[in-house]
Amino acid sequence: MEAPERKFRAMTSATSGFSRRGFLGSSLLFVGGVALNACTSDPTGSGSGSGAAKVTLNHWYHEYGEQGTREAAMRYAADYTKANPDVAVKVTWVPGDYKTKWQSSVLTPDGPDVYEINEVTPDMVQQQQVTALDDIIGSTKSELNEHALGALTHSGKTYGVPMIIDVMYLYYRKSLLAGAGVQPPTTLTDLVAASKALTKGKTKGIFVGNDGIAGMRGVIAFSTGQRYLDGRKAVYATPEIADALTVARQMFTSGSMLLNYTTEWYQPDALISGATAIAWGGMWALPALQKQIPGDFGLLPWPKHGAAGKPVVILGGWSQVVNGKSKNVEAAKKYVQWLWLQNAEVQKDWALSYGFHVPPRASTAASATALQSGEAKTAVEILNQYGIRNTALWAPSVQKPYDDAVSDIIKKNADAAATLTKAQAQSQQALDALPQV
Amino acid sequence: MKNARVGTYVAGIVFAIPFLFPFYLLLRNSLMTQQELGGLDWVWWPNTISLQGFKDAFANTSVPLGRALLNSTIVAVVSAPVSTLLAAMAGYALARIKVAAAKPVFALIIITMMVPGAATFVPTFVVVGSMGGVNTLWGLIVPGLFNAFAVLLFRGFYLRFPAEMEDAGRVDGLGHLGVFTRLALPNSAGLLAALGVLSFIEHWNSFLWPLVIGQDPAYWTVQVAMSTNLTSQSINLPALFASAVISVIPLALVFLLAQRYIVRGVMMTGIKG
Amino acid sequence: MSIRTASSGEQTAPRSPQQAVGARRRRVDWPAWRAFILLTAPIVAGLVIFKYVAMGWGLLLSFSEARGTISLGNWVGVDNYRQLFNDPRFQDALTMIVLFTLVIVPITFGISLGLAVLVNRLRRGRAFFRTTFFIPAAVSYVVASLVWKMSLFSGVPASAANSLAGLFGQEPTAWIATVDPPLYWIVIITVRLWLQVGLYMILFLAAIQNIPAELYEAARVDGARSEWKLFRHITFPLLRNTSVAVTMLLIIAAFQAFDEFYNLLSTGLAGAPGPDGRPPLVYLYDVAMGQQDYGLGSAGAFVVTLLIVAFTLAQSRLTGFGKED
Repeated sequence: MEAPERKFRAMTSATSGFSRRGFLGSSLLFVGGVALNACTSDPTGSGSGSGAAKVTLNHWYHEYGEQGTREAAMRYAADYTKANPDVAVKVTWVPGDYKTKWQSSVLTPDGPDVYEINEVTPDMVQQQQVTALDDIIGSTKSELNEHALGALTHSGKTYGVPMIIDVMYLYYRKSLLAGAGVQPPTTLTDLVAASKALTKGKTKGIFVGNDGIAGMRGVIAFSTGQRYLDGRKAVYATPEIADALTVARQMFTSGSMLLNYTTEWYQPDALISGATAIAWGGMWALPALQKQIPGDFGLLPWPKHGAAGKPVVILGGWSQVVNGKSKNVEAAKKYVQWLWLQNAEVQKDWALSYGFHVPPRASTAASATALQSGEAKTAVEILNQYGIRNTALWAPSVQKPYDDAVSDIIKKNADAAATLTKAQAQSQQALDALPQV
Repeated sequence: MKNARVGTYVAGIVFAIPFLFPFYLLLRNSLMTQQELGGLDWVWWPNTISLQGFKDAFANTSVPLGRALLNSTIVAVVSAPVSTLLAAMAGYALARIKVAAAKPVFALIIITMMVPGAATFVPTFVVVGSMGGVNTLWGLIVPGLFNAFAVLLFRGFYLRFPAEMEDAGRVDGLGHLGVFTRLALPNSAGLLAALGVLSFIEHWNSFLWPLVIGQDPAYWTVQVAMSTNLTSQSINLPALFASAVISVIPLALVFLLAQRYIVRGVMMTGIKG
Repeated sequence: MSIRTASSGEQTAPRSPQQAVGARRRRVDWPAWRAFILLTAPIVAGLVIFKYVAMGWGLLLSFSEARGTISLGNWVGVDNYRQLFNDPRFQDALTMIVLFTLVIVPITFGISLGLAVLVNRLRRGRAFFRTTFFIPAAVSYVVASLVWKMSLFSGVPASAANSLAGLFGQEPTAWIATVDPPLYWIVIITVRLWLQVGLYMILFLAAIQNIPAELYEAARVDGARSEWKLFRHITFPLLRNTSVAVTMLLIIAAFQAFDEFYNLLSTGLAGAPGPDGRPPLVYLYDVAMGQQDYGLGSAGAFVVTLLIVAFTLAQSRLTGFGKED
C-alpha cells in the first residue's frame, strides 16, 4: 500500500479540484439505487398477462424435460386468461432442484399461488403451504387413481389434484442383450449377473443414476415384497432388505454400473448412446426412445428379490396444490379446477403430447389411444400389475437416514443390517416429529 | 548457474500447464457440438468450430442466461461501489471525527468480523426471508453490502492522513462531510479501486447466498443458473460450457486490466470472494 | 467473509483515562455528531440488521421447532441441539471438514509458497507466469466445478483424466462416484487448489519481494551457498507473519467449504450431495433448505460458527497473530 502521506499531494491548494471526483463517488451510489429500483419490477413476465387483470396467479412448474411442455403450460395459462379476463397467470418454470426452491419460496408471503408437488407431507398441511381441495374435486374423486390420491390425503382431506402419473421401470437394449446372450432378468441376482455379462468395451451393464444409487434405493424394499413405512412406523430394517442391498452392492463393485455419465437417469441419453445396456427410466422417455432406437428397446419391472419378493414399478407423478397462504386462494382453486379437473383436453395433452405419462383420471386414461399399443401398453400393464409408491409420510427428514444408510452400504460396504437398524431409529424419530394433521 | 536458470523456466512451464489446461477445456468444450462432446473418445480440438453452444445458451428459455447475466451485473455493479463507499464513510468517521460514540460504534462494527459470513447463512436467510427478501433483487444485494473488514482498512488508512487535512478543510470552510467528500475520498482512489475490484469479483462469483435467496429463476445470478444447468432435466453441455465462458470473460478482463489493484487489494486483505 | 490480517491490531490501544474525562467535559460538538451519524449510520444499520438481529433471531429459532416456517413461537428448549449432536451425520460432517482442512491447508500452503519462490526467481516473463498462476482466482467455484465434473474427471472414457489413464491401459474410472477408496477427494482437492493457489502465491510473492537483498548477500558472505539454505534460513523465517496469515485464511476458507461440494457432488434433481462429501455447510443447507428445518439449521449454524470463532481465537492466541506491526 502506498503511504497515504505521499498520496496526500498538494492538498491544501487543490481542494476545489477534488469536488468533481467526490461527486463521482456519490453519483455511483445514486446510479446503484436507480438500478436497484428499476429492476425490482417483474423481470420475466412469462405466461398470460392482460393489463386489465385484477388478480395475478403465480404458477410454478418443475422443468419437464420434454420439448414443448413449457409452451404448453403457458398456452393453458393464456387460455384461462382469455376465458377469465380478471385473472392473469404467470407461469414460472423452475429447472434444477425444484423441491428446495418451492419449499423456500412458500415460506414467504410472495410465494407461488399454485405449484406442483410429488406428495403432501404433514408439515406442509400444518404450515398452510397447501389447502384442502375437496370442494373442487367433488365427485371426481372416485375417478382418480387411489395411489396418486394417497400421497395427497391426510385425515380424509385431499390437498392436491393429480396432474399426471409417472411410471418408472427398467429399459433395456434388445440388441445388446441378444448380442450377449442375456435374457431380461427377473430376479435381482439375475440382474447383477446380466449387468456383468453386458459390460463390454465402452458399454456398461446398468445405469441407475450417476451416483450408482439414485433410481435404485426407492425400489429395494418393494422388491423384497416389503415396505418402508407401515403407517407411522419405519419398518425397513429387515434381513430381506439388508440382503437385497448387499446384492446391490455387488452390482456396484462389479464395475458393471455406469457412473458419472454426463446426463442423469431420467434422460434416456445413456441408453441411446449405448453407454449402458439397461437403465432405470421413466415412461416420459418413451417418445424419445421410439424415435431414436425404434424396436431396439424393451421394458421390464425392477426384478424381485427373495422368496416373498415382487417385481417393482414405481408410480410417481405430479400433483397440483394451492398455497394456503396465497392472497388469492379462491381464484387459485378455480384455476386449478378449470385446468386439471374440468379441462379433459388439457389433461390429455399434458400427459401424452410431449412425453408419455398416465392421466390420473380413469376416464381420461381409458380414452388415451396412445397408451393402448406398443411399449406404452406394456408400461401401463406392468403399472397396473406392480405399481407401488410410498405414502405421504415419507417426508425428506424421514427419508434422509435411509438414503444415507443405502449409500454407506452400497458404496462403503457398511454392515447392512446394523446400518439399517440405526437409520430406522432415526427415521422413526423424524416420523414422530411430523405433526398429526 | 545458467543451468539453474533454464531449470527454473522448465519448472515454470511444467507448472503452468495444469493451470492453463482447464481454460483450454472450457474453450474447447464450448466450441464443440453436443454429439462430439458426448462422444466416448478424447479429441484435442473440434473438427469444425461450432458456435451452436453459444446460441443455445441464450436460447434456453428455462434458464434465462441473459436475465442471469443481467442479475449478476446488477449485483456486482451495485455492490462493489456501494459496499466500498459505505466502508470508506464509516472508516473516515471512526478515524477522524472525535465523538464519544466512536469507540462503541467501532466495537460494534468490528465484532461482526468474528462471525463468518457463509456459516451463518441460515439465520441471515431467516431474517431476510421475514422481511420479504426471498426472490427479490434487494434480498440478493443488500445483505452483502456491509463489510466490517473494509471499515477497518479504511479507518487505518485515514488515521495515517496528516492532521493538516482538517486544517486545510477549515481554510476552505468545509465541515466534516466536506473534508470527507472533497479531500479524504479523492485521495483514497487507490484503496477504493483495490477494494472495489475485489468486491466486484467476490460478488460476481458468489454462490451460496444467491442460491439460497433467489429461488425464482427470475432472480438467479449467472452462477446459480450454471449450477442449475449442471443438474437440470436436459443437459446441453456445449451450451453449459459456452455460458461458463461468457461468465468468465468479464472477470478475466478485470483481472488482466486491473491486476495492479487486485494484487494490492489482495495484499491488504488476503481475501477473495 | 472478511478476515483480519496483520495490520488490524493496531487500533485497539485503550484510550487513556485523561482523554476520556476530557471528552466528557467538552461541550457537545453537534456538527461532528451529525457528520458521524450520517457517515456511520448506513453500515451500522446494515450490520445490526443482517448480523446482530440475524444472529439473535437465529439463536431464538434454534430453540424453537421451526419446520416449514421461519417464525418463532414453538419453543422446544435445547431439543434441536440434542438432535444435532445425536446425528452421526453431523459428526461425520465435522470430521470430514477437519480432515479436509488438514489436507488442503498444507498442500495449498506448500504449492503457493513454492510458486512464489519460483516466480520470484524468474527475470524475464515474470508477469506472464504470475498472471498464469493467479488468473484461476478469477473463476468461480461453479465454473471450475463444471469443468472438473463434466470434462476433467467425468466418468466417460473421453474425460481428460480417463484419457490419460487410458494411455496406461487403465479402465475408465468414475472419479466422483467412487468413495471407497475416496477418489472423489482428488477431484475436490484439485479444484480448490487450482482456484486458490494463485491468491496465496501473490501474498507470498509480495512478502518475498519485501525481504532486503542485503540479507542474502550477507548470508552468502557467511558461506551459505545453496539456494535451499538461503530459503531455509532467510526467506522462510522472514515470511513468518505472512505464513501465519495465510494459514489462518486457508483454515477459515476450508471450514466454510460449500460451493465445490454442492456443485460436484449433487446428484440430479435430488439436490444436496450424499453422506460422503457433506461438509457442515452442505449439511446445514440440506437441513434448512432441503428438509425445511430452520430450527435445526439455525442450531447447526451456531455450532459451526462457534467452532470457527474458537479456532480463530485459539490460533491467534497461539501465534500472537494480530499483535505484530
